[in-house]
Amino acid sequence: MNFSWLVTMAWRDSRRSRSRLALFMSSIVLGIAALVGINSFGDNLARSIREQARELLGADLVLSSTQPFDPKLLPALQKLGQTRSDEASFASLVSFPRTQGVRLAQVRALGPGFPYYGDWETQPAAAGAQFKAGQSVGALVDDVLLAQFDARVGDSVKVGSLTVPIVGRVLKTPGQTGFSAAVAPKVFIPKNLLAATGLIRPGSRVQYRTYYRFAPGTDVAATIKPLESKLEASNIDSDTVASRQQQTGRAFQDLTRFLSLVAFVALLLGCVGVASAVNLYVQEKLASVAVLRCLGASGRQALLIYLIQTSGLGLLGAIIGAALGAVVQLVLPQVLGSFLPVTVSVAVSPAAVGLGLLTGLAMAVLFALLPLLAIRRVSPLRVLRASFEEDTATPDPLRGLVLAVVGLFIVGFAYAQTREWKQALGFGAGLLLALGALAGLGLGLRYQLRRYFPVGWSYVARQGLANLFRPQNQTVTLIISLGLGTFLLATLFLTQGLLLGRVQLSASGRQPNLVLFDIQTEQEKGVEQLLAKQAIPVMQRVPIVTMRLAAINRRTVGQLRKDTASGVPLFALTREYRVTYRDTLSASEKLVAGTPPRPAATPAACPACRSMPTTSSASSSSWVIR
Amino acid sequence: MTSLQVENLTKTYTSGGRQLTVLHEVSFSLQPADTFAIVGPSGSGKTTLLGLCAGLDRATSGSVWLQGIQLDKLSEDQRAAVRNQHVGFIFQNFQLLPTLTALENVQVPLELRGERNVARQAQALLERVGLGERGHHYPTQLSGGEQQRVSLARAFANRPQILFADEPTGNLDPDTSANVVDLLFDLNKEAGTTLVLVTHDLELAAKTQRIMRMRGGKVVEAEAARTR
Ligand SMILES: Nc1ncnc2c1ncn2[C@@H]1O[C@H](COP(=O)(O)OP(=O)(O)OP(=O)(O)O)[C@@H](O)[C@H]1O
Ligand SMILES: [Mg+2]
Repeated sequence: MNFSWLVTMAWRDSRRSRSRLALFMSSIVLGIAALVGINSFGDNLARSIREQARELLGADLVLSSTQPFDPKLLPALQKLGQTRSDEASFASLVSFPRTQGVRLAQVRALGPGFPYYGDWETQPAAAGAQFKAGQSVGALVDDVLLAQFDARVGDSVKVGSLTVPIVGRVLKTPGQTGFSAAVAPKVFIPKNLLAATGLIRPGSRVQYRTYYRFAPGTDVAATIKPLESKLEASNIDSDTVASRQQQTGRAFQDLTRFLSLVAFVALLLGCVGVASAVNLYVQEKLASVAVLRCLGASGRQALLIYLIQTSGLGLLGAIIGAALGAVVQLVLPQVLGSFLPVTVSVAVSPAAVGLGLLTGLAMAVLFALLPLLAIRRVSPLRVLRASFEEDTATPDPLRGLVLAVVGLFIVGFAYAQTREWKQALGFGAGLLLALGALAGLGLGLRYQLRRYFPVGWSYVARQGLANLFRPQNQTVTLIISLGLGTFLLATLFLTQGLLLGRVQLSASGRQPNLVLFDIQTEQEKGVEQLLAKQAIPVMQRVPIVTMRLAAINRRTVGQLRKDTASGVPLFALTREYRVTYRDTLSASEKLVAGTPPRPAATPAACPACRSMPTTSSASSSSWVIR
Repeated sequence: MTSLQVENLTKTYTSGGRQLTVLHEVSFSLQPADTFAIVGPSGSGKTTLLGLCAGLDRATSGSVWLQGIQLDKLSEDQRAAVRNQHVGFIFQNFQLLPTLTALENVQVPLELRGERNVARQAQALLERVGLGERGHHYPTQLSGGEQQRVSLARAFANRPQILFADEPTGNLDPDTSANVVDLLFDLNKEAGTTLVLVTHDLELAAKTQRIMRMRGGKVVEAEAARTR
């Protein structure tokens, strides 16, 4: 058979049907654009996480604990690696004397050397390098915090009883996203100034860390393996690049999975579009096919002409789609950028583009072939009788084969996106069920309409309705394609809702979106006025008294500390407790044991307060505001 | 060798459980270069017969030999090949491919045979039907008469041994009709083609050597061959 003639005919035939074919092509373009864009983004995200996991950690290994490391372990820990730096970090109020700002911040007292990977991004740029070299005489402060209090480099910052100059504005530290910085802005001070803050006392909540750097190529997991049980026994956590990479990846799994569902749905919608566009196209081409058959073209030749046409356009659509996807992929990191833990480098992923092109072609061929197969059976008799209907009673074995391949394509593709056979098969089965239900609906509608035709209706209404069951009606096809489209979109929105529901604590309007901490008694009036002026309602005021334990069951802390068998950990005896009192429980609280507080009890009469003597007079309140 | 031989051709349609015989035991045979008209009232089965003779459809019983080839033994694709080799068609509604230019329409039968340099042959045919300048026009840009002339050129493109025409002038006004009919008979004479013509138009039928009258699917009168 002359292939070039078939191509020529495919080209000639397309000339007058370009707008129809554009519809067909746009289905592929959009499907492939979504697929390539999202998969490229996913690939880029994974690669960036891999590349930046080390920078995220800043070291090869981090050991951390809420207590100073057990002195007995120190020799072993020192043997682990020579290149290391220590850190103590804790939450504390910091103040900016010049602008009189006070805020709770995360204070990190860092020894020299950190970070081993990645770098500070500071203003001035030299401040970070100096700090790393251990030559810094002041603090590095998060950009967010400085902006909040209108403070600048050169001002001083007060941490506990230490007042030091601010030597740099921190734009980026290893392992920190813009999001987490806003929640707990950080102040970095040199480790040797830690003692001067006077904040490290028994019972203080401090996180101790040691960062290690190993020679390139060291198997970190194997290195700490022998120490593992000892570390565990003394409550020391270890964090490696590999584990960090996993965690970061996991945190964004929902996002990437959802996006891949979006891509899949877009692609399936494209498939539905292809099948219905070609289905209509074939209806239009029946007369031409009959003429070709009459003039001597074989059924296969006629089919091939249109298959070449659709696959050619499919390939073109896939190329345009992949190009469009590459653009989408450029935009996605900008949209999601500030929520991502890594800077996603935008490189066109050749794998995603290749997969997109192949998928586009496969989808054009498979889903066009389904309606195109009918062309082989077009009778040349149509040239004599335009409305001749072919005998379609005998099943077409090729059609069964194509349907099977289509099924494989969908399930295979679902597997490629989810990497789980159970999900892929479940999705395929669900889709088949939906298809069956829709086809049944279409057939049923056609049948019922014919049976209970509303003869009393107006002419236009009757004609309109009758078209639903007249010869060559598109009722079933339309119901299937529109129904499947709606079904897929609904699935997408449902999933989106489920995912958002997981991250949204509650959608009810009674949830606060702002909490003010540490409002001192003398500040209350001022804050109240400020809120009133802004018309911001206060939902709840929580009085807070900082207390220390004096005795439990009449045994003083001093006695308890001496009694090693008491089972009460030391930190629980010595730490500060932030205690509140109120007459009723709020909706989010649950009484686990004991009797509820009496409604009429005034703070002073609160029995719990009386039985819990306080040694501290520090009191403040937190206001919950919406 | 007979050009077309039809024996006891019967066509029965079954629809809604009822049988409808639209052709009943029709027989005739034609020698090469014969011209033959089938006439009869609407619904008498003329088009059905033509479709069976050209191998576009299958008979319920009976046989058709076209250029000595028994059609009812062949598959759909094999019959298509026979049509491409031996048969030309003219239709009432022209049946040009709307997406192809006039020239390309004439080329198709030649291209289907795998011939080379078809454009030159097709152009010559277009000139023969007086449309040499219109080759690049699409069917929608041509008048009915012009379209039928293009379809004449296409019908003769593959140098068929036998030509089937179903109401070739049915959609044309009398003047245009006369023009097309003259062209049809002239080309037929030049090529020595057997012509099978279905028509209502007795004047047109009278131009053939033989006329067969049908009614209700049966041959009511088969006029003997006469020389014109
Ligand atoms: N697919 C079919 N099913 C049932 N009956 C059919 C079918 N096709 C044609 N017929 C019937 O066969 C009969 C012959 O039709 P045919 O088209 O051959 O008539 P005709 O002589 O060409 O008429 P006209 O001069 O109007 O073209 C008609 O009664 C028609 O209704
Ligand atoms: Mg007819």
